[in-house]
Amino acid sequence: MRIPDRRSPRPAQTGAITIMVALVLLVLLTLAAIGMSRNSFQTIVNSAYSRQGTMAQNVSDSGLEWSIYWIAISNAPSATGEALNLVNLKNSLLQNNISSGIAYDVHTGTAYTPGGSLQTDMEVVNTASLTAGYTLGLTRMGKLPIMDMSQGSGPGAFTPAAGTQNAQAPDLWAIRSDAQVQQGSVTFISGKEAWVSTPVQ
Amino acid sequence: MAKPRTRTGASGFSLVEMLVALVFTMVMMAGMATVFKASLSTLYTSGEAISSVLRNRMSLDQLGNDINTAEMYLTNLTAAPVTQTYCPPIFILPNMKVVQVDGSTSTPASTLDPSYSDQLAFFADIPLPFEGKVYSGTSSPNSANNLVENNAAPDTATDFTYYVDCLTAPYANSVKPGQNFIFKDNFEVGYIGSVSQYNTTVVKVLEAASGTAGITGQSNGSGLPLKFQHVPGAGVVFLQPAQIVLYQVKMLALDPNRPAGVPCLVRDQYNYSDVVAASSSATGPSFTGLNVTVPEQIITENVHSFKAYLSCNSGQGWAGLGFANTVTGWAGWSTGATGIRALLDAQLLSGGRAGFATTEGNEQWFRFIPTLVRCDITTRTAAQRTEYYKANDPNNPNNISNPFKNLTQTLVFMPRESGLPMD
Repeated sequence: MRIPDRRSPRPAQTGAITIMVALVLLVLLTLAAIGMSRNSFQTIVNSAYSRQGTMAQNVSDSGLEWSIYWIAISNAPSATGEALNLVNLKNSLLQNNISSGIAYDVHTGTAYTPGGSLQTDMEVVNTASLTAGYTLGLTRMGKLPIMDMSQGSGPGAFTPAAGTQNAQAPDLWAIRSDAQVQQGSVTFISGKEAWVSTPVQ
Repeated sequence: MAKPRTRTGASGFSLVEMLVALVFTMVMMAGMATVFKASLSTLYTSGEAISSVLRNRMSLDQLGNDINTAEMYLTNLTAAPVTQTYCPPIFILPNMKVVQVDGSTSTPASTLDPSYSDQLAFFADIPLPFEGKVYSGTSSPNSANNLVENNAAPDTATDFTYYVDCLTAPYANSVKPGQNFIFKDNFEVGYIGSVSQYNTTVVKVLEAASGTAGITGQSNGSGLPLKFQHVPGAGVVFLQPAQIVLYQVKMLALDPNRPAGVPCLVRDQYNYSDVVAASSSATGPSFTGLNVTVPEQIITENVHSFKAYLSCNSGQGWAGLGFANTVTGWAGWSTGATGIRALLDAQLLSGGRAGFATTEGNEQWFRFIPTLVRCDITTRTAAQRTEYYKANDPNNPNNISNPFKNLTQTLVFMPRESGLPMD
């Protein structure tokens, strides 16, 4: 009688189990790797958010500094592009009292709404992956309510010893700078405002 | 006859082979476990360290933005407020005892928690985070069109009610009596005597004589905003006048597993008038009169220390008292040659803005002398770990064995209003 050899199927079963165990281990390792990479990825995302948020604040600061420079009477003659738009807007607002109190877009000269398209002159960074710049709103706030003081030197200087307040007192402006930092589909924004006085023109 | 079963070499392992294989496997597993444990430790500790760095950076950003408003006087653009020498518009109280969860300044139960930290305070008019508009939906104030075409009667000079569109209901709800409002079409400041809702986004504001005129110099009566001078649509800024902002480290009950609390850098906002009323020239400022409309803000958690320094000579020297210095509080700011004020004066003798040899005699010196502010913030990891353990850690102000990982970052900058005289 031929005794059946029960051992012959065993090597095949052992191979199957080995493959299964190997697969399970591979799956576990992959899951662990994904888990770790997710943490790393989240850290990278958080870091990028922090960096771009700070960049947005700095860009809005840049908009204020740019405006303060170009709104100064002594710098106006060399203004071109958007800087010239700012100078012209300032002059037109000074001619029209009922335009006071409302922010006007430096680029368009119309009522200002934050978040408009960025102009080349007001872009700080423009690469394929990152665009950063600011839009500006200028508000005429009337005359600086002052008495008994003098301001400035040179042609724009005044003293209150003669003339009326309208002819003497500095003009007060509100400059609003809204930064946009665009990376991919995400836009970081930051808005800041400065009140600046300029000598009477 | 049955054929006897014979074993072949390929049919299985001997006991010795199995034991050897097991030993090798165990050695390998032990090695891998060590590597795995180390990698897990690295994962957790690096995550906690990065979190600590981000919290630290975030707190510095917020602090920087806030200190930029130090001595920002919006109520009166041309004259500084009236402040007292015993509660100046900017000061540092060095090495103050940290306020514990129970409100006391007792020594913390654990030496791991901070017991001393600096307090930084500054005066400012704090604007609300929105801008309203003079509402055009009512007949008051009259528009030029209404006056001309409909022959409407102009608003009287004795009418001090204003309708302001705040754009959203939460913004409208944040307008409170005691605040100021500024018209941006023709700079005028009003004090809010009472306020009511006209609709969900529009508030009806009744102007009154300023309750903080003694500090801000705001006109009382004779210079009230005149309604007929302002046009619908003009911007309106609301602000809280004469505030004093205080930064300090406090233990807060944020974690049920830590009954002693979690050390946090917090920002409190007080009414300057209340602080002055409780202060004296002998003891200095006493922080009472918390502005209830501005809840305490937690700038960041797990802050181990907060130190502040000032420099009037472009950072060549820093006026501040380290933890090793035993002079604390008001004495640390104002007293003799050991106070921070004296250190600033010493800087001015050899540097700083020309024409200014001292900060004494003018409490608005910060507006006249360009002054750098430096803040050192030490954050610690949220968890204690043996991996962090450091004996006699010099970064720990208590100089003790430290199971936290501490990280100190420094912010140096010049606030916008510093060095910007008002005349």
